[in-house]
Amino acid sequence: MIGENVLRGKPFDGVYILDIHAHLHCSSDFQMTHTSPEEVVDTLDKLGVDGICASSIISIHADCRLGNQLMLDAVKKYPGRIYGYVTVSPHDNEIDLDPFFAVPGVKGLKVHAAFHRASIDDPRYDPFLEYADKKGLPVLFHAWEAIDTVHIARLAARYPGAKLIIGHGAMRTWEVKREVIAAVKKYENIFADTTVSVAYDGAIEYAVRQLGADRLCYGSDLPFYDCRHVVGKVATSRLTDGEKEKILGGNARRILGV
Amino acid sequence: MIKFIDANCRVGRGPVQREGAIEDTAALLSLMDDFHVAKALAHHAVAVYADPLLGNELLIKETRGSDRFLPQWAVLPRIWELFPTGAEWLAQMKENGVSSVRMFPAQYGHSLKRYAAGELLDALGECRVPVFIALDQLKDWDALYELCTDYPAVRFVLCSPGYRCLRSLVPILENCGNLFVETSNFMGHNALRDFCKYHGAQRLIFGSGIPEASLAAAASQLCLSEISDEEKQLIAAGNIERLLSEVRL
Repeated sequence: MIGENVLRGKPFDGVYILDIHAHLHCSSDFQMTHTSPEEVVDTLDKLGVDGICASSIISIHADCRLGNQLMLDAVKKYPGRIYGYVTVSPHDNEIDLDPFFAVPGVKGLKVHAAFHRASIDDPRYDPFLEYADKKGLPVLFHAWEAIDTVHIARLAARYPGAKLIIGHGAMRTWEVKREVIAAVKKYENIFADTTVSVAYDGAIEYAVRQLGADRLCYGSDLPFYDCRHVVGKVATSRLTDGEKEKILGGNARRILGV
Repeated sequence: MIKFIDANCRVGRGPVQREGAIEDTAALLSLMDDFHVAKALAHHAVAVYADPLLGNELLIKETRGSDRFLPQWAVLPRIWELFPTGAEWLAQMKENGVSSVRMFPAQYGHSLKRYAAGELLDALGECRVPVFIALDQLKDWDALYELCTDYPAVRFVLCSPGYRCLRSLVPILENCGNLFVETSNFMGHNALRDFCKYHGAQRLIFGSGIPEASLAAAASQLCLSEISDEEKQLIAAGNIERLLSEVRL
């Protein structure tokens, strides 16, 4: 049974776990720890987590191109363990995406509009979303507020070939969840993830009842903060093993094409 | 298997009911069973959000007869005859089997400075009653430092410090031996391992943060951390048992 060994402190075994919302490197605004690709992979090893799909925090918080290059280096160094998102910025939309996606481990785009002082529906993102639409790529959005999901739902209609992931959406406030539930029910190319530092007991089961187990993915935000509480929360939840398998890695595998 | 005491649990109804959350004591006990939580230090939502004295009274009534809950009172300094003196609080706590307290200075709007809270905190310190206080109840980190240094005899347990806390928390830990940290939302990457390395497992107290936060998350965080089983057991229950055993009411 998935999760039965969590309280014994044993690593996961026999279930494929792929974290759809992770990062590498650090930001300056608080003390993050163990943020290098090597240290992140060490944690994955210790926990029995198979892989992550990550963007570089440097690409979000500072230099987009530098961060994307560092992401690429990590993807090449850890094939099958670290997959990558190319962060796209509204301030740098001349970037050529083709070379990134020539690398097998690069799987999608990351949009963090809040840090780029933009809105998710900013037209400067359009070329990137058209690219994702054409190639059938996943796009992971930082979607903290309800309005972010409203924008993502509109994009889902415009770009039906892209797979849009509402980062943080599944276990936030009622206002956010209401929009996430509506968006997931309306558009087949929308997914949500579990990424959040604090969520109450029962939140994951509620999310699955509302969204369905096929549309929810395990995401942790590692190493922004630890991943143990979220992966453990999913694994020890009162969901069935079949639902847990989908959320912990099965859905991410399908969405990312791993 | 690790046995837990949850040192950060709230019972009763607050202003927000979350979708799919545990709704009553029976559901809470069932969840505690799932995660091998023998006991929970519980305070009451009515004490936090409405009336401290009524909430404390409800807590005693609602947990009476259960050996799974250790009642934790919300306390505040004497105002006229509206709230007890420190000595009176202690006498009532003894009478009702209460051996730890929480303070809510931001929620209640009172000062923790000596002129306002000294009589109460000195009394609590003298009896070695652990005083729990959440980060969001303090104006800033300097306020925590001042609290710990103004009342060196009091054992303070900082609740829900967050994952962004290290640069502020570590210097206070290094200067204030009377500060303990409750683990809910102490979620930095490998935070428990690092804390044990630099400050010792003896200063960590396991808590869930129920109902806002999750017992499943907190228990997973501890059990999956790269620390020894002995350190896990200290954090899970041993440290709070030690602190409570030293209370002299």
